[in-house]
Amino acid sequence: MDNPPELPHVEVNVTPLSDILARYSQHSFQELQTLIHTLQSKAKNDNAKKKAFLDLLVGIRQNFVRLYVLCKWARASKDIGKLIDVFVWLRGQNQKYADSIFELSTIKSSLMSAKLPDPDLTTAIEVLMTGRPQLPTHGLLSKKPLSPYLILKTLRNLNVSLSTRMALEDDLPPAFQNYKVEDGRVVFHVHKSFQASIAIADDSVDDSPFFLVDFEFSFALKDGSLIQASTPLPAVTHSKIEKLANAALAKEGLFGLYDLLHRFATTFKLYLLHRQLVAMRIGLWKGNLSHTYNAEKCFVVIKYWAKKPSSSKQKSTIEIGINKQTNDLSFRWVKDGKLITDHGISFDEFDGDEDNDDGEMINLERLIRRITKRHSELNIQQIYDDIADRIEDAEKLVSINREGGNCSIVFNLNATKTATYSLDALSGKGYFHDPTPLMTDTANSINSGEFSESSLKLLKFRLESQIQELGSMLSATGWINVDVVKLPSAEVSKLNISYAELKEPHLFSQLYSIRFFRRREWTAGWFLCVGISGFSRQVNWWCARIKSNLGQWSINWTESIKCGQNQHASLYRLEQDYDYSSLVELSRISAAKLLCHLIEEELIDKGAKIVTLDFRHPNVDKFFNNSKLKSYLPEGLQPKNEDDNSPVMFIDNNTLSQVPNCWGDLVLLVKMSSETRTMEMILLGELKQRFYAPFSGASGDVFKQDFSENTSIEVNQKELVFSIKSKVCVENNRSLSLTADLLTVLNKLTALITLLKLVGNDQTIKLLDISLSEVTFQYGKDASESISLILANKNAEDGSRMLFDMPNSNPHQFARDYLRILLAESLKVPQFVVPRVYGSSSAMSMANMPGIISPGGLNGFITYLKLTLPLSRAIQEITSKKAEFLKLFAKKASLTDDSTPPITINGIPCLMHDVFCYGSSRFRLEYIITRKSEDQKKSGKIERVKVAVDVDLRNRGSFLDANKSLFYVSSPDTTHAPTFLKELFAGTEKFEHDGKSVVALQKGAAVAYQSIHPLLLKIHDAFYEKYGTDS
Amino acid sequence: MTTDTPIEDKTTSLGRAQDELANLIETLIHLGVQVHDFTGTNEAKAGLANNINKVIGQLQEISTSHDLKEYSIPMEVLNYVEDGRNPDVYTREFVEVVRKVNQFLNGKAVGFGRFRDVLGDKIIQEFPELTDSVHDIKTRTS
Repeated sequence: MDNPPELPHVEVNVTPLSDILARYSQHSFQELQTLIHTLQSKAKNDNAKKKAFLDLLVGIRQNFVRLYVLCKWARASKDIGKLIDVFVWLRGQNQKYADSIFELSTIKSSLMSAKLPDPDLTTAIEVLMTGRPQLPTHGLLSKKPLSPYLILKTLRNLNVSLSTRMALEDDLPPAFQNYKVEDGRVVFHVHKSFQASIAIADDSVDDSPFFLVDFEFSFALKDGSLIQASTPLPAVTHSKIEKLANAALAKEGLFGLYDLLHRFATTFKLYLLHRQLVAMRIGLWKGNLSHTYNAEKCFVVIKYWAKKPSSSKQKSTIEIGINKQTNDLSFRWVKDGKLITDHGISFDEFDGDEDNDDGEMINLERLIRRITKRHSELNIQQIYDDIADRIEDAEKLVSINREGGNCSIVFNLNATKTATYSLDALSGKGYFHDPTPLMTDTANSINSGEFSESSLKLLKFRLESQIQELGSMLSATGWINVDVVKLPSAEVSKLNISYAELKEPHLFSQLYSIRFFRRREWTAGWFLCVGISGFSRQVNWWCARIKSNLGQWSINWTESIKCGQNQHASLYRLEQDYDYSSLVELSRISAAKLLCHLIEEELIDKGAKIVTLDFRHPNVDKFFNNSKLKSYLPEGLQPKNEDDNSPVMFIDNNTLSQVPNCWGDLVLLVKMSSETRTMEMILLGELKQRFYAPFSGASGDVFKQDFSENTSIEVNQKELVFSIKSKVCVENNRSLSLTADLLTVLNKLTALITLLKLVGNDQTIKLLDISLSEVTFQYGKDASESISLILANKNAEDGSRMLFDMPNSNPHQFARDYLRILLAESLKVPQFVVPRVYGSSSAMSMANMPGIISPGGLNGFITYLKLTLPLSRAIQEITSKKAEFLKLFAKKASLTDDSTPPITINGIPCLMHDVFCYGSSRFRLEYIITRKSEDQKKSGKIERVKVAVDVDLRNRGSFLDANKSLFYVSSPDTTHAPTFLKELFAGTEKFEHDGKSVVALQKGAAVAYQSIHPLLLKIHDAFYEKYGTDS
Repeated sequence: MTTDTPIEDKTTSLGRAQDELANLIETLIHLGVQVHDFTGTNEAKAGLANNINKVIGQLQEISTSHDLKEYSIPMEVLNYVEDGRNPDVYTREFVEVVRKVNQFLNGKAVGFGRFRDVLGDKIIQEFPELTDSVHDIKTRTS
């Protein structure tokens, strides 16, 4: 053998000793040299230098000691060097081994492909067809077939062993009690769950472990529902469950096995339910159902009514999971976030039964339908309860209908109409049967809102539907809906709406609506208010006058239209079950009420005190039964007339017109005629006594007069009843007063009666003629001395209320103007009640009649007439004498006929007279005397002298009085007066007439009014005696 | 003293070097004493100079001992000495390591030999046509 190769020498990291020594020597020398150089410097003292020198020396020496050691070691250095070489080589070798091992493993792995057979066509086709090649067996020996005898024997032995084992088994799970031993296995059949077979490895009785040999489920999913059918497991799952089952068997015995398999079956069942749900969700229930399947935690949460909006906490779900107590599937129902336990629905009901032919087990859809049905039932009940909580007598309005398996709530809208609201089982949404648009809107609103508001919304719906219904009926019957009227709540409270049915009063504003209607022909501001409530069947009706002031509506007046037997029989059905005819009737009634109200208001405005009653009021009946006015009631207006709702107003006579000679209240009846659109007012009154004269044109005791087309009066003196009728056309009378005509007549009657009362009491006066506007009476001796007082129409020119007329032959004619003033003044007196219609009074001066008429009033006027009649006669006579004289004078002047000569001087009559009237109480007779002057200086001259005789009407008291008033006859200058006058004044001449003498008062004389006529004639004659004759 | 141990042979280069080093160390001690006791007199100065020169001379001698080149000193030993540790410890440890490595490798070599034989036999068994090659390898490697 050759020598092995030399070891390679390693020289890395190795230094020759000589180098070390040489370098350090040189280094030391260098150090020394440096030090000695530095020693020369004087910067350091000697000690320091010494120290540095010593330090250096010591350092050098130490290092050289080390070098010495090194030298000493160096003796072994050659061996060590060799050893290093060996070491390095060995490491190299080691690496080579490692490389070899690695190479071997590489070869091994690279040889893997060598195992594969060569590619061939057969294998290729096989791969193509099956996906993998069936490699040829690796030379396994074929087994000998078992003989049937052996098989049977083994099985029998196994059966015996298993039976024994099972019999010896102390404790079996209850579900495993039912087993059978056959074919060398124990078969457990757990109903509706699974079937499992176990066997033992050999026939030893004691300790040989059981193992699972077969397992299959007893149920399957078919057509969306679970049915009973055996479902074998796929091989992979089977081997897996086999492993687990065997482990459980080994560890916990049959209990463990049962637990495992039961859990497995239950979980699978749950999975199948999940599959059912998945199928349902793409079918009919699409969108309304959602579910969560949690395989790990073994539960399915079904959310039904998924589209129904509700807060997340209030979801309604059905949770299916494993009951911890029974270890079986069961469900929990969570309704609106609350667990419902008393639903009475058991899972078993849906778990099929033995008798069921189709072997159906859990039908989830049935369960869900059952629960949703129950849910909707509960919800409907809840809504009903909510409504019942809110209103009294809810059962009158709503009821629950459970017919047809579907629970629904039925609203009675009116007598014939109902609305049915129910919940859709599929979606949980509310809907109305046969919906109108309003119902659809309501249902949408309910569905999109909170459930708790449903009841309120349904009540609102009821309100709305009533409004619609009533609104359409009203508009069909001619009513016009007025939307703009919005009453503030303060005004609404004036209507005194009763809402006792509402248990929660704050809902009133939401559940009560007031609608306003009017009729085309109605005056603005008239309304029919209809109060419709969502909480009761009652409908309230009012007629009202409503005004808008700056957008604020306010009720001026309102009256409830009560409907019922005691009120408006024709409206009896109106309150709850209105129909078209009653709504038409309503217009008549409400218009009547409004008109009556207007009448009432007008009368009250004029100060009348009124009590208004309905015709059917028992007091009305009572009143008319005791009154003769009853026979004056027009046809169709009778007490106790069921259909009649006309009002009767009792007007206190003292407050309106104070009709004298009338007792009791005036009765005003109002009758509406809807056909002619007119309103007839009849005012009835009773008189205390007859008038003093017959009416002109009266037939018998009954007097009738038509004032205008629509107004008439009838006075029955026999019955002592008067009635005034006035017809007003409602449509044409929008702004005028309704009662103006009526009151005009009444006032005339009042005035007339007042007048008659004044005149009738006086025996000296004779009534000649009476009509409503005129009274003619005679105060003198014949018809010429009469006067007619005429009640003026209100538009009399000078505003005076009464005019007079007299025959032309009346001696008072000369003082006509003064009489007019006097009459006007007399009417100012309160005794003569002045109706306000004629409110203006004469503004004429009273300057000439200081206080003569005062409280006497018209009475004073009549007294004046009587007092001044003799005077007037005298004046008339004297005046006529003047006319005669002038006639004579003219005749003479023209014809120069001196047969009846007036005495003249130079053609001028010797005596002329004139009558002057200064006011109503002062008169003057003026005589103008033409004669030859008696004065010497003026002899032969003709002079004219005036002599005046004044007549004054003087009162001894403050006022005119037939007994106390006197005429004072005086003359300012009696120089040229006839002697009679002078003597009369002086008292020497006595003048007597009718037993009454003249009282001489020096400057004049006082005379009673009866005596003034002859006295004045006497004075006149005296003047003519003295100056008018040729003496 | 470090040089207590008598130098075994002063004839070899190593022995000479050892001796020179011992002398130098001696001289350095003397020089140190002199420096310590240096008074500044001329005599002292002369003595000092003399000694310094002596040191320098010795240093020169040591630096020129070229015959020591064959003694290689590994770095590890140098570090040992520098750290004041005994370089013989290093020697001992190193010898130990080499021995172990040697044994390990020996085991490996034997194992591989057996494997080679087994593998060879198997190859021959499976692939009889390779028998010659296997035998050739065996002879070449055993």
